[in-house]
Amino acid sequence: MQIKHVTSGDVAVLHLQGKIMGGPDATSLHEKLHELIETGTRSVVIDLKDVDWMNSSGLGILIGGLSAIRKSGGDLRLASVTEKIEEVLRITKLDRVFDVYGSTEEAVTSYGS
Amino acid sequence: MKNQTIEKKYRSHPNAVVKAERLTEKVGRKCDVDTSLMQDICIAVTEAVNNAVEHGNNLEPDKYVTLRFDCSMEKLKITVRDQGNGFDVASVDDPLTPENLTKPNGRGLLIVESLMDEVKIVPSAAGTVIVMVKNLVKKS
Amino acid sequence: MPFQGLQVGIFLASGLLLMLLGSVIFREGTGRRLNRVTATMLFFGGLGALMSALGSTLTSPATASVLEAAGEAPVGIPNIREFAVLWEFFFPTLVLFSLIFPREADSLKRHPRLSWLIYLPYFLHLVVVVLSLDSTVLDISDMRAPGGLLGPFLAVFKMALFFITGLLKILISAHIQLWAGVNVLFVSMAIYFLWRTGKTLTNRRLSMQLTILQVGIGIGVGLYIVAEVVPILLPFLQLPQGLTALMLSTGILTGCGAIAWVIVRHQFLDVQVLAKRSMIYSAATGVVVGIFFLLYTLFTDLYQSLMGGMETNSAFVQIVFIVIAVLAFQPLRGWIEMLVDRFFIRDTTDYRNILRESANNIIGILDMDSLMRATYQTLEKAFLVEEAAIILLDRKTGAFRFVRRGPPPLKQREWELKPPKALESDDGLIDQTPEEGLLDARRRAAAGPGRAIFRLGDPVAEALARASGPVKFDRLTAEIPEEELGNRPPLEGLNPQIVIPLKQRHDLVGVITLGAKLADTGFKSEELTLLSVLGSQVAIAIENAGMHQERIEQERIREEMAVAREIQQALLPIRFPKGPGFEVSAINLPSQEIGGDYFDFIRSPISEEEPIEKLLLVVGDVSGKGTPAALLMASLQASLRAVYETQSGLSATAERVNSMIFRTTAAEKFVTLFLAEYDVTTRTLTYVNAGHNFPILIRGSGERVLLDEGGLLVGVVEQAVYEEGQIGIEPGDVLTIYTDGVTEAMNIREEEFGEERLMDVLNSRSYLAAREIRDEIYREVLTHAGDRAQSDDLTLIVLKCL
Repeated sequence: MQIKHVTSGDVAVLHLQGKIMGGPDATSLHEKLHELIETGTRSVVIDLKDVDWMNSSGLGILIGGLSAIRKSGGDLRLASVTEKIEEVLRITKLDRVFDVYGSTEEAVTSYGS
Repeated sequence: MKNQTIEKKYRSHPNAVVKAERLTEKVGRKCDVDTSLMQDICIAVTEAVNNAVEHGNNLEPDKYVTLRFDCSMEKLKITVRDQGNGFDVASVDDPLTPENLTKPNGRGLLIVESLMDEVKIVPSAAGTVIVMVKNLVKKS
Repeated sequence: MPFQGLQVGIFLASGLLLMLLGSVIFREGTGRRLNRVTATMLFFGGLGALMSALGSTLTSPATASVLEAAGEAPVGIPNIREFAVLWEFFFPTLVLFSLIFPREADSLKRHPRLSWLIYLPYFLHLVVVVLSLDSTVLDISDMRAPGGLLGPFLAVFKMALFFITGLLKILISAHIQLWAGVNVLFVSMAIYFLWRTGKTLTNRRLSMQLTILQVGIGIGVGLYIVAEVVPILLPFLQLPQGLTALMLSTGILTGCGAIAWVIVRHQFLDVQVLAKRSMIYSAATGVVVGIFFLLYTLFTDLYQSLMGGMETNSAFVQIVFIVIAVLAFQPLRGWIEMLVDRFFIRDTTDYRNILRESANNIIGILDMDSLMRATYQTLEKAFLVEEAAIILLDRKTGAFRFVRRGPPPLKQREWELKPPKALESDDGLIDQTPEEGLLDARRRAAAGPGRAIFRLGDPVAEALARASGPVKFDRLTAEIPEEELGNRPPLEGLNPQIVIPLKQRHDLVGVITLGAKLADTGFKSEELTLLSVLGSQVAIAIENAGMHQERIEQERIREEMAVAREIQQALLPIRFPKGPGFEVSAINLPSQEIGGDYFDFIRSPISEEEPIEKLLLVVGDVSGKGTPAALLMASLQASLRAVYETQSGLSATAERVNSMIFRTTAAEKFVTLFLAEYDVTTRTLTYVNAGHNFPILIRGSGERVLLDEGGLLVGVVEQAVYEEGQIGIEPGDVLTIYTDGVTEAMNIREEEFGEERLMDVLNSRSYLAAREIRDEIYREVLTHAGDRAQSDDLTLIVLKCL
């Protein structure tokens, strides 16, 4: 899995690519998220356009990141969720927990309002 | 090339899930599994292997995780076996209750059960076996 | 004027022919508006040609005598041009036709009375002309003035009436004079409507028909304008009456002829061949009769001049001439009919011929794409249907998907939402449905090559497999029990009327679907038989093409493998380093498919003159097979060699190589890598294991150590941390580094060689020299595998300390 980090104003956008299946890649996403939170980022957008699927490890990292960042008054929002991830979010009812946006732009501007 | 059995052992290491996913893709191609089903199968396999490596075998390198595929015209049966101390299905919290909804763990089984057509878990003192079946042909 | 005889013959026959064609079309489908309107139009057109021809030729004494001979009294038709008003109904009918060909315009559907409105001016015109013809209606000159009190009043009334009728007469004559303009206006409207329809057409056959129609009608109206309108507008430019009549009838004939041509030649209304044949025969006969008249006039002229202008016995001449004609023209007529048969009936636009010919051609096409295109074009040419699709089985997945799908011949609104240009194939067919076309390419790629319409095992597939030939779709679905249909209708999104199963022996490999015919006439049993032939030919062709494609694919893979093998062999070391206190041996056996096994030795110092101080042993397994794996291997070797020489320490080397491989490869590629640096002077082995099978160190004492320190697979994450392991080496120790190809070598019973067998060999043979140990392991693996072809490369390095 590849992670590309882009900053858009105050919002950190992480473009993920590949599959999030746990193991080595999960660790690196986890580390990246916590590095962002520790350096004071409060608004994070995870762009999942290029992620074909993820399993519970991926969900666990995202939900962990969400909890941590919400505690510090920020938020983590998802953008461009692919079909399979949408299904997995629905199965686990996490679609009610995450704010999901159609595109990265929408997710980024959602922080402004 | 249907009707095949492919089995592979992995040492308990986070690397195993990457190799297992790779093997699953390979098996999918070998057994002519519809690409639309492959994502479900890959998610299920990685869930099971992650679980076996981390919770079953506790990442002990001398313990193996065995991944087995039995492929027929109608279905793909996947068996994941670890060498841990067994695991109690009833002890898994329901991940859908409000208090568990934001916990980072505990969703694997739910996802596997939703994506596969049959799931069976047989825990024992010599390790846990999880058997997952995906139907490859729509039932008429 | 002998040529006027020919003219009369041709126009007479053509006019009758048009009327005959009209009646045939009318009989073909009395219920259909298009048929009724076309029939009416042809009838009026034919009438026009008839009247115009008769009117222009009545003045000629020669033809008059012909008509006399035929028993018609020319005096019975005083001024045939006055009857033009009757055939002028052709014009509004033409406008109506242009509104409903090839399908009823929306405006007409919404306002059904509109068609009467089109005719209204002509009805009024008819009334006016009839009034003007009957002179007594307006003639009041013989009205007697009654005496008495009313006398003066009536006189005034009469005066007024006289004035009004005079005015009316002027108006009527102006009206009749200028009416030609209205006709031109109507024809222009018709051409405009046809042109507007033509813009929305995608079916090439229909466009062609429309073009012919427009050109024909255009030429017709052009001639009409020259003959009728120009003389009225420019009175000084009077053409001879014969020429006017000639142009008029030619104009009518070109216009109607274009319509007739389109109908007959382009199958526009599916007129049956018999009717078509009879019409063409009549035309041929018309020509013959024309020639007959021509010769007859020439003959009578000659005869009369020979007789010195004497009144002769014309009955005798006629009998002689008819006898000659019957004797001479019967064979001529047969000959003409044969020609007609050869050129028209066996004509290439007849669907029978299209299907027959294509079936023969199709069987020879080996390229699947061309085959599908040819099949589709055949269907498009042979039938004017609302939609057509070819659906083929993807054997790998059991899914039936569109390989070709044509839009309906008339674009509808949703079809104007065209997918991006790239999705349109070169012949303008849209292979994807619009929804699919609008999806972004990435998501479509994820979803595979188009969505499955149905799958093997589905009720539709089973019903199709049972069908022995083309079937009506509703009959096919009637066979399927309702509870098996599920909530999605079979062949959802299509609206097929006929489905043609493509079968190889008993297996269903695809299906051709045809929508309703544009003319809505249904499929005849003859057509179904021909479609059945086409279906079986296409099925055979698909099988041939499949086999051909397979052969090409095999050839391609073979070539690719040869390239990959070359790359791999070029990268692997040929000579093994020899050093003080150790010996090394290695083997690499590429599998048929060429995996990505890689091994390397890097010595330092580099110079071969000096004794080795440190030796780096490298074994890697690149994911994937063939050329991509070989290229990744090359990139691994290049980065490893470059990094190792500049970085200090194996873990730093591994971390650098990991980042480099991560950045240069696709997300799902990875490499297992084992690096071990043997320091000859200190007899220590430092190593990093990045996801590789644990190498086995067997001590001289028999102790076994697995080298498992290290970290993640190379290329999975951007930044990985690798631990270094270190182990002291004693003389007699044997280190074996291997790839999957060793432990996963499979025998015929699908049993792997396995780690245990490898351990057994090492335990019992570690006293041997490195090369012998290597050979021993290799021999055991080969014995285990037997004749079974292996799918993985096999790589083995054995290091023995002395």
